[in-house]
Amino acid sequence: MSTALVISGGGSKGAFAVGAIKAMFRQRPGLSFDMLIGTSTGALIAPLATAKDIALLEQLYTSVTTEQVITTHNVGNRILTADSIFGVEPLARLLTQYYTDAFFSDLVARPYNVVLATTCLQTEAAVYFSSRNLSKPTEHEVVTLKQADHFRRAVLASACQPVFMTPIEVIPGAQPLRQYVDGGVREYAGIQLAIEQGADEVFVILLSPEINPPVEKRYNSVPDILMRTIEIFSEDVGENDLRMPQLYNKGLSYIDTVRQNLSDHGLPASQIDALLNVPGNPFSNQRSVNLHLIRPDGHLGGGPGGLTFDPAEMKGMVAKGERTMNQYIAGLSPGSSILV
Amino acid sequence: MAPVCSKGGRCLLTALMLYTALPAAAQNSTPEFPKGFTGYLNLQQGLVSDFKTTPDNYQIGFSFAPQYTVVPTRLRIGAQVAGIYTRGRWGVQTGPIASLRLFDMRAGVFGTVLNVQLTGGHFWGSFNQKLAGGGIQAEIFQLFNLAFTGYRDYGNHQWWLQSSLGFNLVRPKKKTTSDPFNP
Repeated sequence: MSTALVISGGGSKGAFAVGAIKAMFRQRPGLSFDMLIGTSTGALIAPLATAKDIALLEQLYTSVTTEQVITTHNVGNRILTADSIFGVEPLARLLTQYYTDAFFSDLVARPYNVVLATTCLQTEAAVYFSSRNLSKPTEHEVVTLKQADHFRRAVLASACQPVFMTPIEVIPGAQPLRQYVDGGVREYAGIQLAIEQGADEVFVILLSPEINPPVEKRYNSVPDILMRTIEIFSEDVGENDLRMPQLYNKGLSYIDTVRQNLSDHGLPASQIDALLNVPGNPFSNQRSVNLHLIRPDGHLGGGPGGLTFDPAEMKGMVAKGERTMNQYIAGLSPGSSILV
Repeated sequence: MAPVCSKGGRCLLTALMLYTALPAAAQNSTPEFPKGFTGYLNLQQGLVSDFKTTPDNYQIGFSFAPQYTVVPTRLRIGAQVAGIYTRGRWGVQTGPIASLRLFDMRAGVFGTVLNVQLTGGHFWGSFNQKLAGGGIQAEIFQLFNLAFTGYRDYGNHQWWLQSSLGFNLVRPKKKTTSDPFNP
C-alpha cells in the first residue's frame, strides 16, 4: 500500500491544510506518507507535514503576518521597474530560517519523497522538484534536488504567484535560463503525479470549496476584477486536476461491474479478459485509487489570492481544517483507509 | 517682509510637529518616501503678480530638485535650482526645500499608487527675489509629480503662483534579475 498527501495552493488558506493534517496525525500518530506533493502554500507545508513538525507548522500558520511574507510597494513603480508587484524577501528569509541546510540533509534521508510543484516560464511545463528520485518513470518533468539552496528556491518558486511575486531561478546560473513560478498555474494539485507514482490511497487537501456561492458584489475596480479572474482560473485548473482521476475511478468501477455481471452470467474469466482487454483500452493496467478529497465547505477568507496573513483569521482556518478532517474520518468505514 | 518668511517657516514647523506627533498606527506603514535620493526635473508655469498695482505676468521655467529622505516615510529635505523666464528675462532661483508626506492613495492590497505631500521652501533669486512658501504635491508611481505652489516674493512684494510637472531622474533602475535570497 502506497500513500500520498497532496496539498493545493491558496496562500494563507494553507492554515486549513495544517489543521487537517494535524487531525490526521492525532487520529493516527504513527502515520507517514510515501509521497507528499505540495503546490504553492502546499509546497511551504509539505516538507513539515510530519508528526514531528506539525506543531511548528501550526505555530507558523497561526502567527505569520502579511508583512512577514511579502512587502508592498508603489504599484506603478514596481510595474515599471521590477518583475513583480510584491517583494518576497521576507518569505525568503523565513525559508532560510526554517529550511536550513541541516533540515534539507535530514529531509533527503527520510524514506519518503517531498515533491514541490512549479511552472517554468520559459517552457510552460509543470516542473516538479523532488527530495528523492522518483520510484517510477514519469511523463512529467521532475528535477531531483541536490542542494539546500535549490530546495529553498524551489519552495519559494512554487509559492510565487506570477505577476504578484517574482519568478525564481531554482538553480541560479543554469543554462539555459529557467525561471519558475507557482505550480498552480498548471496544476492546482499534483494528483496525477501521485497516482502515476503508484499511490493507492491519495489524500488531497484543497483550499477552495467544492461549491462556490456567488459573490454578491459589483466588481468595479481593475485590481478586484483581476483577482476575481485569477480565482476563477485557479478554481478551474483545480477542477480539471480532479476530474481526470475521478473519471478513471468511475471508469474502472464500471469495468469491474461489467466484469462481475459477465461472471454472474457464467462467462469464464479468460473469456471476460479476452472481451475486455481489447487494444486501446484506456483502463488496461490501471487500478482504481482510494481518493480522499478534503476541502472547506465555504470560502476560507485570507483576502484576494490568500495574500492576507491575519493570524486571528488563520487560527480559525486551522480549527476549520481540524473539524473538516475529523468529520471526514468519522464518515470513513473501518478498513477503508489507513486512517481507520 | 522677513516676517512672511518666518511665519511660513513656523507654519511648516507646526505642521511637521503635529504630523510627527500622530500615533504610529495612524500613519500606517507605507512604501512611499523610501530611504534614499530623489531628483525631480520639473517644468513649471504660472503667474507673478502683486494683485494690486501691476499686471499679472506669465512665468515659465524649469527646475531641478534633488532631495534626500531624512525621515523614511515622512520627510525629505533638499535643494532646488530653477531657471525662470518672466517679464522678458531669464532669472535663476535657488534655495532649500522640504517635503512632508501627508497621505497615500492605495490600490487595495497591492500597494500604493501615489502620495500627497506638503512642500515648503525658500529661494533666493535674480533681481532681488526672495521667495518663501510652499504647496501641495502629488508624487505618482515615485516617478512623476504634479505640484501646485504659491510663494511670496518678499524682496519684490509679489506673489508667485505656479503649477509644475516633474520626472524623477534618480528613479530606481529596472533590474534585469531579482533574487529574494540575495536582495
